[in-house]
Amino acid sequence: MAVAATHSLSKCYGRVAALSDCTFDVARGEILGLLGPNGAGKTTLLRLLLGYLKPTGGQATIDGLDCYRRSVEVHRRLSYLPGEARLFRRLNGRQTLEFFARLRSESSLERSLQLAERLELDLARRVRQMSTGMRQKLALIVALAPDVPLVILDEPTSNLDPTVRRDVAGLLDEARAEGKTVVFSSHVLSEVEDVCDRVIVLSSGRLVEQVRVGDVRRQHRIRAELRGTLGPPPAALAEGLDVLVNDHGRAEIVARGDLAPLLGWLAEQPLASLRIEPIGLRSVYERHHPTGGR
Amino acid sequence: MKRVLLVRSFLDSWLLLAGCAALAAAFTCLRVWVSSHIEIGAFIRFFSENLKMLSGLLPAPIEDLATPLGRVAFSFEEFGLVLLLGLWSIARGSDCLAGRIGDGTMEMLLAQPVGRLAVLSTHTAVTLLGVIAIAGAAWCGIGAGLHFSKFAEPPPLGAVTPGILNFLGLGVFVTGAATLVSALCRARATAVGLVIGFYVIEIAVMVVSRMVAGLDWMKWVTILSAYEPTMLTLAIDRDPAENWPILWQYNGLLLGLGSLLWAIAARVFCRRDVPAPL
Repeated sequence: MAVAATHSLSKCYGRVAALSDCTFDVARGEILGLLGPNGAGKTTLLRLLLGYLKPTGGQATIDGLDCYRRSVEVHRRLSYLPGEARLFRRLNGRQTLEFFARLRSESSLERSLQLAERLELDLARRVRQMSTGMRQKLALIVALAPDVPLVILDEPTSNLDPTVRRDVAGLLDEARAEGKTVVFSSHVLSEVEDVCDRVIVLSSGRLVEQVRVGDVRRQHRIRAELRGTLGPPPAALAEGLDVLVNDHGRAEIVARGDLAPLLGWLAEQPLASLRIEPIGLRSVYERHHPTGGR
Repeated sequence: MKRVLLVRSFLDSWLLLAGCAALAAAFTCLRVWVSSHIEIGAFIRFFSENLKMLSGLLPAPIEDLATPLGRVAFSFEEFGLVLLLGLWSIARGSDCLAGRIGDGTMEMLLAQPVGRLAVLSTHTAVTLLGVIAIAGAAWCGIGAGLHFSKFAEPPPLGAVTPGILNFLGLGVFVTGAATLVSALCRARATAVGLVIGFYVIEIAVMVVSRMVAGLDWMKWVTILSAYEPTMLTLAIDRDPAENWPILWQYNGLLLGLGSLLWAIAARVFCRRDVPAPL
């Protein structure tokens, strides 16, 4: 059963459509990544899931509960890290964790303190004296401490150094191992590819593609220069191949399945040179946003 | 959970409250002490001969204001005291929603299993507690001022109770109005500007209604017509049986409108989108 689901979810501000007709679901224990450039609708989608925004069309549900109408019950089942997390500036790190731990029974101060130690955060410092990265770490701890089935993170690793990014990826893996579901948005394609099970790509407020990261990883692009004519691939392989040969004797083959059976056929072809590269999320992303991504 | 929010809300603003209450106590104490030293006969003569045109602005005849009780009760009309009450109510009321949305803490709060109404009501409860504290501090200040005053026959402290109650009513109204504006705005600065602008317009309408004979109907369009602490204090001292009901009418209007505005604010906030912080 899906933990979170949207059905034709839309949000308009006057004539501007921030999100249009978005339908997807997230299975229990899955890590779902949201990709898209600024203004694509990622944050709007997350805020609709949290019930912060009233949909102008469609519906979002978490555990079958309407996100807007039953937001308090929904929030018992999730934790959230906003894109630009702001905390009470007068409190120090420990007081912040204590405050949020007291606010919800699903949270524990002990777990928060363990996370703080792991992320090497100085809890004695006041929030207003913290750097942007420190504040981000603190907010991340607030979001990851509660024992809830769904964690929603809006660009969790922005402002973090590479070491902490690696730690965050580790924490998300642990969340998955504990059976939690994670939805997170990011601009960092490599990070999404490393962590996520599935990715949805948004463009101008529309969901334009959903891919399984495992499927994307199995896809390869093969570029070859030919000395003669490329023979037809065996019937067993042909379904998983897109072959394009131009007039200058160059071939580009996109292989969607395992590479091993293909290599035998390639060895028999009149090739002057051969280059094989994994397609990766970048290619998926650039299909919809040609100049975007990092 | 609500206790956690209440404590947080109080801790966020106890310093402002302590400052406003201390200043209210000090201001009223000094004000009463100074007014007991004025040679009032000369002042009445000067006012009657030179400033009679301004008599319409006074809340009661100058002779009544010159009595010890009149002089003490007039403290509630002083700009300084009303400013302190306004500072607290507007600062808190505007921070309640627009302030928290603007600074982003609302987003973190609402991500917890906390209802929007709980956030609003706990914040307002602390604001109203502060209004009571400031009124109480003003009352204590008046008591201290009377203790050290040079009035031949100082009025009893209990005689200014109508003024205190009317002052409290004004605090409730301003809290409700500021909360409503805060629920409608995204930025706290906008909310503060709108509430202060409204207050200035109300004062202008009040002055015009009192100064221009043909425009006295305008007193019906300003809420400040329900804030008459000096007139009510003097009238109730003169004839309690007849005038206490008038105080309840005035305060009923202030409390009723304040509560209505707060209820509208709650409805607006519970249905509005919570935008990303500025």
